[in-house]
Amino acid sequence: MPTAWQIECFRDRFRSLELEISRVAEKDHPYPEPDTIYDALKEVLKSRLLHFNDVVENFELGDPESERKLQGELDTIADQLDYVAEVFSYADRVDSARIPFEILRSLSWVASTLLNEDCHTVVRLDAEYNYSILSCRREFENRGWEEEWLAALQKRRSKRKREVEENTAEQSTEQPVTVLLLGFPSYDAGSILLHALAAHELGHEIYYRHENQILEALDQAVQTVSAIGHRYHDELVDYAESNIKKPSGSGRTDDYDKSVNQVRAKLLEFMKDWLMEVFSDLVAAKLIGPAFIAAFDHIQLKLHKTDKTHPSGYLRRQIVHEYLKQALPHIIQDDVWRDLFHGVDVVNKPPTKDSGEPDDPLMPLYPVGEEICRLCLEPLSAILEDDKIPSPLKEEERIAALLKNTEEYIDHLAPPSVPFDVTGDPLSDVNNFWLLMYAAWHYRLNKSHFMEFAKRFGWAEDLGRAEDALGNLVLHGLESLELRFRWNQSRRIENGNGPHTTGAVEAQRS
Amino acid sequence: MVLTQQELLRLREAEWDERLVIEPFFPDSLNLNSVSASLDFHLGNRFTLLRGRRAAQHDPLSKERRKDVIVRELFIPMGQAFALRPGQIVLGTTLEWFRFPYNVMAYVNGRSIWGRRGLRIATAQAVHPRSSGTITLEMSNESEVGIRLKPGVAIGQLIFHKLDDAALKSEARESTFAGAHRPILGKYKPTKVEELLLNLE
Repeated sequence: MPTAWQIECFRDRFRSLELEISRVAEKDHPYPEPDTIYDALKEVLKSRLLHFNDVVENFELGDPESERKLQGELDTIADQLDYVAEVFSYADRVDSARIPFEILRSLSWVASTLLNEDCHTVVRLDAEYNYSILSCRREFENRGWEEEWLAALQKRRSKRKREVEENTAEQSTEQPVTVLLLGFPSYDAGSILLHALAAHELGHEIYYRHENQILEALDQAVQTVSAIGHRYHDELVDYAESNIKKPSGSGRTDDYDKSVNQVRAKLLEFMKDWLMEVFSDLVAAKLIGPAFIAAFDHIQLKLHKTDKTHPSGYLRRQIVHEYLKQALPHIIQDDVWRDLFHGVDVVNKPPTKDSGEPDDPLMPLYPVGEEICRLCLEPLSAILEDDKIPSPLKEEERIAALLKNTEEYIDHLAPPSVPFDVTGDPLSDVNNFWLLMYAAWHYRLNKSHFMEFAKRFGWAEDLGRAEDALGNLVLHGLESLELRFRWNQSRRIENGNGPHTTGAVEAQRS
Repeated sequence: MVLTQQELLRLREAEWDERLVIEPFFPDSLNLNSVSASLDFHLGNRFTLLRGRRAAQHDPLSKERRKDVIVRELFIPMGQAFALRPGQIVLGTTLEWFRFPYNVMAYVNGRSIWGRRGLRIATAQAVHPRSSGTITLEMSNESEVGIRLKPGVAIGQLIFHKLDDAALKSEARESTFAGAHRPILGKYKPTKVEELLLNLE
């Protein structure tokens, strides 16, 4: 049974978390989104503290059943406090002046249109060299904190209502609201081109729209590789023999069936995460072509690295290459991207047995996992084809003309967003975000062109400065596109045509 | 020759040598019905605050970093405001990115509505041909009360001049601030003459 001292320690933990969250909330962040997260966490602490007090008060000393129940409740509360600390750690360090805050509105705009959700993005500088995404709404829901999330949103709405007299935009929709926390490598805080990876990260969120179909495809592929006669069948049997304990007293047939089921379960342990990565890669390829791989190469230097959450960089680019050959052949034929796919051959590349960490028990299964990913390419492509996200890269002639125009602007150190048409229609205008990123990476990877650019402005000896200037042009371009979009929308309202609505609002109406 | 708004519109469509780029550009901000010889620009979101260390003084010539002032960058989103205190100086930027052709330069001017309230927005007013980037504004409050500034406000105007010298066309120009997006203090680069004069004993 917990002592009075232990109870006191619990209370201290509640107090210190609440104080720290309040202290960080005082910091100067340009946008209100982090406050929503902090408020929601404080709501969680408040409700858990009430529950804690209730549990402690209702405990009956000397009743073994009551003592056992109390211990169980306290363990759950301790876990919840750990979760609060974990989520808080994601939402900390979001106020650094090194963050290019200009991009947040564009990212929010893009995410809201793609995900049918009112998305607000926040960038957190990460000590790890990684680009990641976390939907706070989903995170709070997964932890059973929906009520606290909604209470924090309500608080924010009321505050905003007090601040702004007419808040028609927020009152007119009842969409779900989330804050997307983008983890960004601290060492490259100002690198704008790395935000091409947002296409992959948003793919994670789009994955949830199709999760059931994707898991069906996975199940089918697992059955295929474990079937007798498949080239990986024997390997799976070997793995079962040496890694999985057989229950004593069972017959040979039972043994085999159980082993197969256990191996399948082991495969599924990591394959769900792998397929999420592969699917998100395909979403990114559809939106921005190979440009996200160029950004990915900045983040992950070990292309062979395989673990239970990510397949190897080699496999991923093999699959993207194959997908682009079928879906966007004119893009993959462009020589500029050749280096990114050097040596990639989906059919002949042998699976990499030695690519995992030496002490990883799942390592022998990774080659099988790679085969499963390849088998899933076709169904995943079909799922993506059916998704309503249009590819901005479909029209070959338009892309060629756009690249020519944007190159001219960058050559002359002028924002490459100028030649883009902005109509005020969110679904088509949002594509400009991806096209601009695509054009920027296309320019960056065109070696002779980029060197000429660097030389022209005196940066030949310091290509980093040339890359910074390119990033500045892109950042300014993205900001301008979003402002021009807002302007066109406001003009439409003024002219009595009403705003173009997002897909989300239209879907809701229907 | 001072350029009219009609002429500025023409330059936006000119060949690259003579093209003026303004992004974002809102055509409605022009007043083409009257003869106007300036173009309004808007305040951007980035500010750089200068703070002194104890006994600090501006000394851009010094190579010792600690003697100079500390800078603090600030991002103010659209819809929010920034208060400039009396006597305070901050660096800001234009919302627009300007790319000047070889034969056009401009002067940065404040707008009287702000000037009458004590706001100065530029001391180094000339923007040279071939410049490209957002324009850094050296903003100071010379009044006795604070001035509330919101990004997006039309804070100043550019008066464009055309240079009549074809020889400039072939001349390349390298600017320390080319392609800049944030307001920075910049490093002092002495000219040859300065190097001589400053090292005389």
